[in-house]
Amino acid sequence: MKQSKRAQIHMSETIAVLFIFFILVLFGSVFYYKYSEISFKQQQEEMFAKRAIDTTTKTLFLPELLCSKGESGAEQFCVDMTKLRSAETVFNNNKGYYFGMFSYANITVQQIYPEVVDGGVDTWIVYNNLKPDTTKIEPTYFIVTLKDETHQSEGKPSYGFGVVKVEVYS
Amino acid sequence: MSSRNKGQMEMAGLVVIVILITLGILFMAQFALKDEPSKKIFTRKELAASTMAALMKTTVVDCTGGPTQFPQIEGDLLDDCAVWGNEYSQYVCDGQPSCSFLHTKIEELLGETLGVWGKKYHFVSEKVSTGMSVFEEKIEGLNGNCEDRERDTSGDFYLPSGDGLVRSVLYVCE
Amino acid sequence: MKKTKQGQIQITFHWIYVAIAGAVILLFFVGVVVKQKAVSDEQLSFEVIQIMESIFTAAEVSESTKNTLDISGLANLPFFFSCENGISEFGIQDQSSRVQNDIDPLFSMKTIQAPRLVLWSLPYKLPFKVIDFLFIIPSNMKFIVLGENDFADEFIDTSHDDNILLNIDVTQVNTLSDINPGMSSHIRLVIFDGNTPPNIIPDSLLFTFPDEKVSAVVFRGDNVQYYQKSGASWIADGQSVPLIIVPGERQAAKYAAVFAGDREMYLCGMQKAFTRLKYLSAIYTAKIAEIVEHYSTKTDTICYSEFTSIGRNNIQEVLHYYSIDVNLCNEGIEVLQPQSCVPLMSTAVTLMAMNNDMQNSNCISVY
Repeated sequence: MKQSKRAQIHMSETIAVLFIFFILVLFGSVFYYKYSEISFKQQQEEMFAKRAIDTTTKTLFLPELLCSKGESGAEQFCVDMTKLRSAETVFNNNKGYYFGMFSYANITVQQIYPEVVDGGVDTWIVYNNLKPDTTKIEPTYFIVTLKDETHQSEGKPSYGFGVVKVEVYS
Repeated sequence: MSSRNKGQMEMAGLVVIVILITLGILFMAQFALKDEPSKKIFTRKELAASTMAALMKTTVVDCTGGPTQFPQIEGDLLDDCAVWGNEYSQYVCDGQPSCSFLHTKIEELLGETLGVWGKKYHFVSEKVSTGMSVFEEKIEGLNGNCEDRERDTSGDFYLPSGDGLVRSVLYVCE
Repeated sequence: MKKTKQGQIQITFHWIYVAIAGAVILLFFVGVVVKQKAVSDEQLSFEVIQIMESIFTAAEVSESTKNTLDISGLANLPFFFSCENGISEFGIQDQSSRVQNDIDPLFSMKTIQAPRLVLWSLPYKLPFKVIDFLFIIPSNMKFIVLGENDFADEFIDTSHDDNILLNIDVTQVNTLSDINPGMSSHIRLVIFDGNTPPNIIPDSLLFTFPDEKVSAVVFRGDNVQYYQKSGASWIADGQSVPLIIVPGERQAAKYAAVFAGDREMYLCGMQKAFTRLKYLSAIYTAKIAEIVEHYSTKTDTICYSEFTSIGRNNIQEVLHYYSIDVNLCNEGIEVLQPQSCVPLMSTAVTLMAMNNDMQNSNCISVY
């Protein structure tokens, strides 16, 4: 009898040890899963921020918008208004191609100065591709010169003050 | 070995396992709780340069007097302000002489952009020979200026005016 | 007696039980560690590729500049670059992480294993800027120039930089027997003046280099022909490819031909450029329409009479023919017939000349 009880107690002890061991393993697994989830979300955030910067960089150096000075090359941080006015149509008609460049984003150019009279256009949508179930929007702003050669003064083009807004959707 | 010793050994073994696992979890916890924000340094650095370039090139409408019907901020109005000041200003824009107009307009443009985006900034335009500012009052953001703090600069924009070299620079910070 | 036997059995089973349980637990953790290592390797390659993609984007927009990328920490990881059907891909060999790009032309060797990369961006103009070409040049690659002309001199000149880290290893030789490959991992012969690669490979390259590490590009007028080392001889890589360029310095298409791994990569990169050109020409067509409308109210100016009025020398007409040639070029290059892009060169030159004339006459120019 005594031996049988001892054996039972021994078996119970072993089962208890195993039970606690697996409980601890379970806690470890849950913790590791949570850690991985947080790490993954952090990585997603960083990738999203990187995409915002890459999209802004590409926008600011688009040959479709950049001002040019003949053979001298492009003027930095300058948007050619004669190109800008047709950019929306061209980008819209070729959305598939530009999606490869910008993905889900909204890129607009707004003229701050000179102020536009009522009824005039002061904001041009360069590219707009809204993601159906957006969870996050990251806007980046940049100031640019707006060069308009069709509004000349003494043979020189007029320069406005504008903002490029690049919104990246997640 | 007595049963009591055996039991004690088993308990000790369990305790060792628990301690090891707890240490492991604590070790992993420090990675889970570490904070690593990413900074968009590129955007701020280039923003000062692009803002200044856009500002200096801007063509002003609604000006009278002066040799040019649509003067530029740097090439024409800043030159007029540096040489003639408010008192003898050749240009009158929006009913103001060139120095006052420039102060108002630059403050307005920077406020509508950098100010709205929460940036701190200050704009300096001075005669290199004397170190004196071209404007009577400072041009700085409502959120504050960038003196004595980490900041990005637009780089110096030099204008060879009729009254010597004028240096302009824009400082932007967070 | 019974108790002793029971004790013996108990102890035996106890230890067997411990051994089995221990082995199972050990195997479990070893399995987790091995899986985790594989996941970590994938994670590392993914992060490396993402960072490189960002660096390439930044390098590309830094027009006409060279940057250096230190990858000595990844010296044991071979990178691969490929381009097919207008889509380029790069990544680490034998890893699943890779980046695909159907927009930006990249020109490099097909495999790179080097301590440092030189990233060089040049704008491709035809005649206005179309897109930036990015050249990825491993620091342990040698370019050997045979023959002389203006581009050869320019190439040698531009390969040297005050910053030693931005230097490209370019040597000019008079004969192929003068070649000294040194410690280079790749050799590219750049041959001008109508010279063809000799029938035999120089001894200095024959025995020390595997076939895929030695190649040649021969410039013959406005065409380039690629060759690959195969044993002791050269094998032509397909037919020659036309260089679609306009007169000027730093012609990106020529540099692309030098740095592209093979004919396929060169054509693939050019295909991306011509695709972009299609959309750009639509923008310029609209711009010119605005310019024409602007000058339609200034009929007393030379800008109207010389460039925008209906008749000869009309800029709108020039751009119209240019757009037609761009579309023909795109259709041709998609079916690997780059010869269909040749007419585009002459219309681009006409557009360039007209643009210069407009600028000289103080008219609003196309670009």
